[in-house]
Amino acid sequence: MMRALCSAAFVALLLQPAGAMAQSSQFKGWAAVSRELSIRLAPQGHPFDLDEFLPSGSMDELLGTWTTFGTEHRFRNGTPNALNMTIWHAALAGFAKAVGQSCTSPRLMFHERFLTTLHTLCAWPAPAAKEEGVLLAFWTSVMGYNAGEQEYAAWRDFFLREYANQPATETVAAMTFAITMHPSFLLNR
Amino acid sequence: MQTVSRRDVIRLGAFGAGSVLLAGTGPTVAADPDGDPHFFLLVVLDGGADPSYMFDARPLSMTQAGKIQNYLGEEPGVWTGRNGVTTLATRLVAPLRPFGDRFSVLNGVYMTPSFDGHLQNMNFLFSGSPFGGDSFIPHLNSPETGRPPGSLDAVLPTDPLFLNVNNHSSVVPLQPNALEQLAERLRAADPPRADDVLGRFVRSRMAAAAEGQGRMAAGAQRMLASLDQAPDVHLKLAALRVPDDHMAPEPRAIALIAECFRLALSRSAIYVLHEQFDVHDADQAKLQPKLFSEAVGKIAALFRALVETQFDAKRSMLDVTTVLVASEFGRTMRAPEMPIHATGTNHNQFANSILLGGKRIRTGLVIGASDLVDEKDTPSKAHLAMDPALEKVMGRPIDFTTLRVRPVRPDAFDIEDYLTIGSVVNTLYAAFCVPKARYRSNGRNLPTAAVLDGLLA
Amino acid sequence: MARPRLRRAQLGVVVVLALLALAGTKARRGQMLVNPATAQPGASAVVEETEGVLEGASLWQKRWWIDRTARLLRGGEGLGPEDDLAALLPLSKERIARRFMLDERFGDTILDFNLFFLGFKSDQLKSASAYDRTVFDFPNAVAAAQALLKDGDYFKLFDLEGPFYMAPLRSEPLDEPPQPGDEGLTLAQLRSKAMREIEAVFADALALAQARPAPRLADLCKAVEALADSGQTLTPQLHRAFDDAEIFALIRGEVLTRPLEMLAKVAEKACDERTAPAAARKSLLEGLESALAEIKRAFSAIVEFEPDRYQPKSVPEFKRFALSAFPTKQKWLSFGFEQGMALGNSSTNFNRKRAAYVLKRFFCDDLIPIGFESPQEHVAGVHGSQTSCYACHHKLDPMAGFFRTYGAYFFDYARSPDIIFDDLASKDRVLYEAVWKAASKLPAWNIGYIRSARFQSYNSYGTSMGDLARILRTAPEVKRCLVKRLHEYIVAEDQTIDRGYLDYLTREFEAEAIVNASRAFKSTIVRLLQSAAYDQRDADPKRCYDAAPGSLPGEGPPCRVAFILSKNCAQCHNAGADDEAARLDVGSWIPAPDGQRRIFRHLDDKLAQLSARDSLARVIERLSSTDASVRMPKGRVMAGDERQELFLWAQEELARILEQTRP
Repeated sequence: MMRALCSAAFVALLLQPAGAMAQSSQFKGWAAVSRELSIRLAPQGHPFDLDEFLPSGSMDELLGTWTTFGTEHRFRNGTPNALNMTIWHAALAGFAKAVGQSCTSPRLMFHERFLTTLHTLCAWPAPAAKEEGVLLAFWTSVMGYNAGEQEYAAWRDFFLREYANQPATETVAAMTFAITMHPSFLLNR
Repeated sequence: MQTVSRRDVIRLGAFGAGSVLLAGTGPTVAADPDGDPHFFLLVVLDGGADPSYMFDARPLSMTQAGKIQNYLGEEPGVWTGRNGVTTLATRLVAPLRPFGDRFSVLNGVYMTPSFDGHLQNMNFLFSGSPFGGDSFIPHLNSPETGRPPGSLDAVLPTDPLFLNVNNHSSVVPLQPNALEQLAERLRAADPPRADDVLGRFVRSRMAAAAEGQGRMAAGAQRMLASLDQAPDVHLKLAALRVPDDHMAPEPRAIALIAECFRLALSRSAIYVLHEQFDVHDADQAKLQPKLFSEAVGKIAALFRALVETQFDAKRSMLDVTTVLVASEFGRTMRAPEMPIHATGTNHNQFANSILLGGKRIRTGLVIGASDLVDEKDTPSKAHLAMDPALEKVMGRPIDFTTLRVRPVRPDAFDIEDYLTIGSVVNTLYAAFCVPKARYRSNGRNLPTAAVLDGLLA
Repeated sequence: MARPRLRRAQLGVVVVLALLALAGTKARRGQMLVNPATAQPGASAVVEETEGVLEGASLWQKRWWIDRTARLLRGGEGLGPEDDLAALLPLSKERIARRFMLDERFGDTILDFNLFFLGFKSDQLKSASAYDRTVFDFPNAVAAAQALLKDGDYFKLFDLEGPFYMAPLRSEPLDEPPQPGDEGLTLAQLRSKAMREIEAVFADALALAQARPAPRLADLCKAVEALADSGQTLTPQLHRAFDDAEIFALIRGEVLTRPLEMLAKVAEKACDERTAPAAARKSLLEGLESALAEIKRAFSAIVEFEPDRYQPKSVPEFKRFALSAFPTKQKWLSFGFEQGMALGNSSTNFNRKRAAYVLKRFFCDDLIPIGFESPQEHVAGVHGSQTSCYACHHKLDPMAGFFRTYGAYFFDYARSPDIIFDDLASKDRVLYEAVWKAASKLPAWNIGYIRSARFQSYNSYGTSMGDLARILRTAPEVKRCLVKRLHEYIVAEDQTIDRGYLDYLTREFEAEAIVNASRAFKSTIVRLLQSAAYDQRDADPKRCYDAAPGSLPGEGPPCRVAFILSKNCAQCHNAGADDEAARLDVGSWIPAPDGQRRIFRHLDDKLAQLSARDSLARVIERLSSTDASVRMPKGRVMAGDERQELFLWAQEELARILEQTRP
């Protein structure tokens, strides 16, 4: 019987499908990410138009989309690949830079509560900017609670350590970028 | 009788026309100038193109006998392969004559024998299953071929196709308008960096997320792997030169594809002709001479552009690219209930016609044939079993060693006797050194479909 | 990069890894903060829930849950600065969910889900606070969402005939360049111009009929006949001012065709030389008056949807078009313009594409895995009468019959001698429909939802769209499918769900829906939001996180195995099967003859229950055989990884039995 089982195990290997891959989370898509950022950061009724940060028009379709026309809708282009990671990187780097630049010359319109947090953070590297409350407020403003607590801790510790004396504009941009490039921010559950 | 506005029917696909703008002012240095570059271009005639207007024509006597429609109204000529095999071809293929030594003609190719739907057969072309599965396109880009993979599996400079395949996440549309702005923006932006402290931190969080058990972890892992390739893709896209918008669509497409190949951005490209090939309606069918005149003109323009566009200082694009031109199926000879002079045609998955050429392919050959060559020809019992109404021509049995049609009239249908799309794809696999484990079979529990060794250079 | 194949590891190793990961997480949590500025207690504090729903959950986790739920139930809009998170934290999950359901944006969520259910979800319903015009194309989705917000009849989702929600008319310029004389006009102005032109044509004819002295009857007949025959000219003249979706509505509403058709009939009769002149004039005059009135009525109703008059800001503000203003007498189908494109019916397809859509979207009966390669089993004729085809076609073809009079773009040709298809070919309609005539007298048509090929009493027959809607409303499979889709929408599309858990959710839903479908639907949402699967940050799609209340471990095969069986095998191997396949019921889990373990009900050819060992050995053999006559599932394509999972499970079970029975 053991021989039969070994044979069966061998057969099981033959059953191994070529190309079988674990089911993977996909990107939320540009529309969903834009909406999340707008709800969290923009004044009510004045959502961000983040398309300016896309490296090109119609690139949003390459970041994960339901929208099509003339056929049943499936979610397309959401699986991470080299091209859409390049686009996400370029777009979110641009957005992060704009947030950082808001320390000196605002480009985006934010709601009051986030502006308060941002103004405090823009005093970086002053001690007031490094307080736990400010950092947590900034993190939750951008990320919400999408990521686990340990991710916030890792992010906080990293910036307190590696950006301890960097200028505010650069630090805030880097902080924003690190949050928005996080899988918990970009991927759909 | 009610009528339907043509306007909303003719706005097909609703994706808008896609054409490509890219003019090369000269080749950039190829990404792998000393290597053995090998790329793939798939030209798809979407909708079921009728081979009888190209390389599998029929004599007028057959039309006069009411067997097959022919709105060209001319006797076809003989197209002779270097292997001495002939086929009838209409004058509409004339634009391809200058390139007759750059491709081979495969007639009588079986698609999925069991379904005649567009989507099923298009799925079958790509994946070997009528309901979709893994497409062959990414396999050509796999490291298991022994070649460094391109950053993307394929680019699509035209409107996409409807498919149910699982593995086209790296088959991406690259539209012309997007390209112009994209290259410029990326030149102005910093590519992702792995060597700076922020880049390392971002990666570390992806790596941490990738340690889990679930789909988020799997997604994070893909993000990480893709981010590792992103700097390369960023630089390549930034290096893409914006096309000259005065170029005709096909040369522009080839120029774009050439850039993608030269930069190792992509292994393959898919170019789709969305003409109205699906001519069930008689009025549409009558337009076929004009339709095929334009379509063949485009295919010829693609070949010309492949020949005239340099890949590098020594080689043209066609020297480094294998080209496949195919539709998802052919068409019936006529529709049964319509008069012969005013009939449309339906789908025929038993006799597709394919052009295969370029690198690693022995060109100038004619391989395979379909039956019912004229009004006197009678079907085999195998044909009658599959097509009792005799609406379709069907491929004839073939000797896979000599690649000659076998002069037999089988009583029963056995798919292994015939030239199938499985064999064509396996031949492509062989040309690209894809491992045999990927090869297609002609059916469950059947051996792999024969590679057309005589077609490989 | 290939993902490490943790799934090939032994179960114990996986458990150990999971425990280590959890320990690591807890260790990292020890560093957590306290932030008085945001009034958050220590992140690892345990929340005492009055309703006991979140015992042991951290505040951070609960905030995540709240934010995620807000995003889900408020049309994609999660927590923002105006939200009082502190006020929500003490509440139970149910109370939080029901609070969010009172938000105006919940209508968008329901509309979005309805579109998901129908297979036409988009990234967003709105752009810059205006609803995307394609959303209006699904009237059953809109009607059901509106009903749910008022605790009305949510099952309007299954009504295939009903209202029409015209979108605000287009304001962006059309793609085509303006025709001579139209340059410089806004689209609204162009619409107005085009409609006035059409009205003027009819008015001129009417003026001729009303003129004093009266024109010669022959001249009047000529004018009316010319008008009746002018469709080819008037149609593009009118349509030039509208986009494709609007033209679709104009055509389906028969705005021009019906008045012109009516005039043609009137002229044919009145201008017959046997008709008395006075009667002829009267008839022609009345015909022209009626035609002009119809045109004007339709145009007046359309103008109500000019964008400066109509821009709904929420789902309740979606306005129904007054269908009585359209000349057509046909009921308005819920299949709109986009579905007309997506679900085209060619002259050779016999509505199978539409049937497959209904089965897939409403019944969750995805026929796709059925596939076969043997050309001897080629489909012959309009019905898959060959045995291997029968598995699909015995369901597909009867369902297709509901669409037999609908041609291109779902236009109803019931009044027409011919039917025109999406490939522009046409056929004699009566001959075409005859394909669905039944061989027997009862039912007269072989049209319906077929559950059993043998026992007609199990099936639901009908002939019309109304019948199909009735079937959808009453079929238990549809309600189960609705719940399943809701699980996919809320949790994840690829998340394995325990069959018993799905049964429980469906049972609860059905029981509550008898009273009120909308409330039942909301309660089901709440149950799903309270599920363990929804609570996962990194769910394993192959794991079942929830089970039916009161179910015990061991009451069935492992959840994932049960899921695979139900997906690939249960269609044939179930207790209600007609044929030999009923000898194995993969939905059962009964005591084996030895009384020591449990196994499927699996009978031998003498109808005696097999032992667990023999049953599993047969399953293993059928899964791994290369003999087409033996290999299972028969005539179907099973995903390789699922076959392997099932095989490995059966093999492990068998190994355990053999180990235990070894002397």
